[in-house]
Amino acid sequence: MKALVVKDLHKSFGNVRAVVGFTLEMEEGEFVTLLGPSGCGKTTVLRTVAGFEKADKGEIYIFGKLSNDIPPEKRDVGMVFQNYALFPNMTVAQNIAFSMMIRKEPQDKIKKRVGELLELVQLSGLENRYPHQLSGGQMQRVALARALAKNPKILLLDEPLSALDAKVRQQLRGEIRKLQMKLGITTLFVTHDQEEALTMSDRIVVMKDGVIQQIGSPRQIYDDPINPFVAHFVGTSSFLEGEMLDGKIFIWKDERFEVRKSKVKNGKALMVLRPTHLKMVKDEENVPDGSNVMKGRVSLVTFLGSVVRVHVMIKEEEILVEMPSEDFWGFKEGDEVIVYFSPDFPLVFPKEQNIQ
Amino acid sequence: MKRIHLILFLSPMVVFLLMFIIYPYIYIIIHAFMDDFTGRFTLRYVKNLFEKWAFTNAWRNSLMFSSLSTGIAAIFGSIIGWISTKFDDRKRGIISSLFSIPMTLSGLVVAFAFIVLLGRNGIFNIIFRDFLKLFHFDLYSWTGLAITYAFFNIPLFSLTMIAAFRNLNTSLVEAARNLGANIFQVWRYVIIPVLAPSFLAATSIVFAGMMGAFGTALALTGMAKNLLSIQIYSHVSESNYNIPQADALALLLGVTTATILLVLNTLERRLRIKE
Ligand SMILES: Nc1ncnc2c1ncn2[C@@H]1O[C@H](COP(=O)(O)OP(=O)(O)O)[C@@H](O)[C@H]1O
Ligand SMILES: [Mg+2]
Repeated sequence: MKALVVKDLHKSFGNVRAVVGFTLEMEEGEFVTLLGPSGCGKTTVLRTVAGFEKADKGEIYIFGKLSNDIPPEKRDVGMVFQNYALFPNMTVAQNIAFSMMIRKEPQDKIKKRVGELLELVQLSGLENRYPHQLSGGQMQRVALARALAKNPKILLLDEPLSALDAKVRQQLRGEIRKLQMKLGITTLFVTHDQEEALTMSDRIVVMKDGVIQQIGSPRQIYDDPINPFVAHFVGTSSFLEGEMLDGKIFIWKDERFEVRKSKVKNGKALMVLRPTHLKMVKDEENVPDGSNVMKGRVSLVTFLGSVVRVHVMIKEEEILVEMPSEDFWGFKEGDEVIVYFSPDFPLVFPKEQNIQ
Repeated sequence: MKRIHLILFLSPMVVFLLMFIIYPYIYIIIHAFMDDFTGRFTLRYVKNLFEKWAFTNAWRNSLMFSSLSTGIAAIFGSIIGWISTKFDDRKRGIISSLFSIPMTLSGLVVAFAFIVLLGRNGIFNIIFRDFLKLFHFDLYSWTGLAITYAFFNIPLFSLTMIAAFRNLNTSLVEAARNLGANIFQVWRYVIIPVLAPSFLAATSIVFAGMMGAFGTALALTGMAKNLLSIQIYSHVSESNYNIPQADALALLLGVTTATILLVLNTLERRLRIKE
């Protein structure tokens, strides 16, 4: 049985179409991320699954049960909010125990479970603190423990990390994913941060203006974006505007590149080049046979830790090239270089598809 | 140098406190225990407070009337605060501005406005008593007085509650529902505890105001209603001139109000949650 099925969901606020024809099926134990720019309808989908919004059209099935008309408190889903939403008048332990208190479970059982959950989120010893005495990261861990306390069938997280510092965010990212795999809980995660989506998810749903653009594994989304929007939003890319000839040759300015993956046969087209698909050398001799070659001048070198990103000006366009730091051998701004790429890599889309 | 700056900076406040609060209070306390003619210490005026029916009755009336008025303001103010959550920020701003108006009006003007509306020959009574022959509304009763004061107190209470409800994070309510709480449980465990400090603060303000309320009551009912504030007035006015007794009454009013405020504020502080 599917853990969650959202079928043709539509939702408008006044004349704002927040979600349009959203369809998604989730397997049990899967971690799926809704990814897209702010305002694309991610939260609305999540809130409809949680029961806080009523679908204009479409169905929500939670473990096979049609849930459109089930009130939020009766749905078997746990929710974690961006702003933590901890009860300020309750201690950490009381926050975590809230759902069990509502269900009138015996005190000793509650106490035991709160202890377990605190351990799970690594907050043992803080049970008597109030939310205002915690850091952002700690608050979000409490919120996570509180959501898990009721043993929900599905966990919903709405940008849970976006209010945190970069360092804490990275750490919690890994912890949430590990916890999720350990508990095997079906999780629907919302973020506008592509890195978060790529590192955490089994599958990613890329959205734009309330419409799903692409559903796929992080690898598929990154390597095989379905349109320029997805290519632009997920990962870094350089875009070249040109023309396709016979579905094989991409003409850009006076260059001709051989390409193998084009969605256009003839006519105006947009080529997507990932920085990692490009290689850079000083002399033409070192270029493997059959590569597409361009000449340019280095305009900026930025060191990003494990990789070095080089901006190369080629025919008045800036193209990004990335290489592992250990492969970088000292290009400087102003150097004349040769950039090349295999015909297997670049994707070519019809020109009318916009990247925005 | 620093210290002198601080003193200069605070001096207007100190002068204000001395002139309008500390000096009058000390004066009241001293004179409440001083015989007017001999200048000797006496407990006579304070004893009167507990022995004379007029005074014990005024004390009771003031307490009851203030509590009643505060209760009315609390009920309507809370409901209005809750209703305000259904509006967007712009509409809520308009409501708040409208509710600020009564506080700027003089009690006397409002009393006359109510006489025109609800008085013996006011519009309301002309319609309901003379034409429809249904009933007669007596503005000069306790009920009438309570309604007139509600005109000030409900907006005052509402303003605090509108702000409190606005600051109540809706995701708290949603989190509670997500965790299985039904609407009643959400109110009981989340909304009421979170709003309680603001509620108590508004209660304090309205209650304190009502204990001292005077102008509108005097304008509507003259000295017909036996309230502490009216008693004080009558003892400084010509008919019943007795300044030490007025001082003793003022002392009683002050001590009663302060005690209740102390209780409310302690409660509020205990409930107030640091964000
Ligand atoms: N309660 C609401 N009232 C009016 N418009 C809303 C409401 N909730 C969301 N919207 C609108 O719907 C669109 C999608 O919003 P949302 O789902 O919050 O996007 P996201 O979470 O992807 O940023 C936005 O244009 C937003 O302004
Ligand atoms: Mg959102």
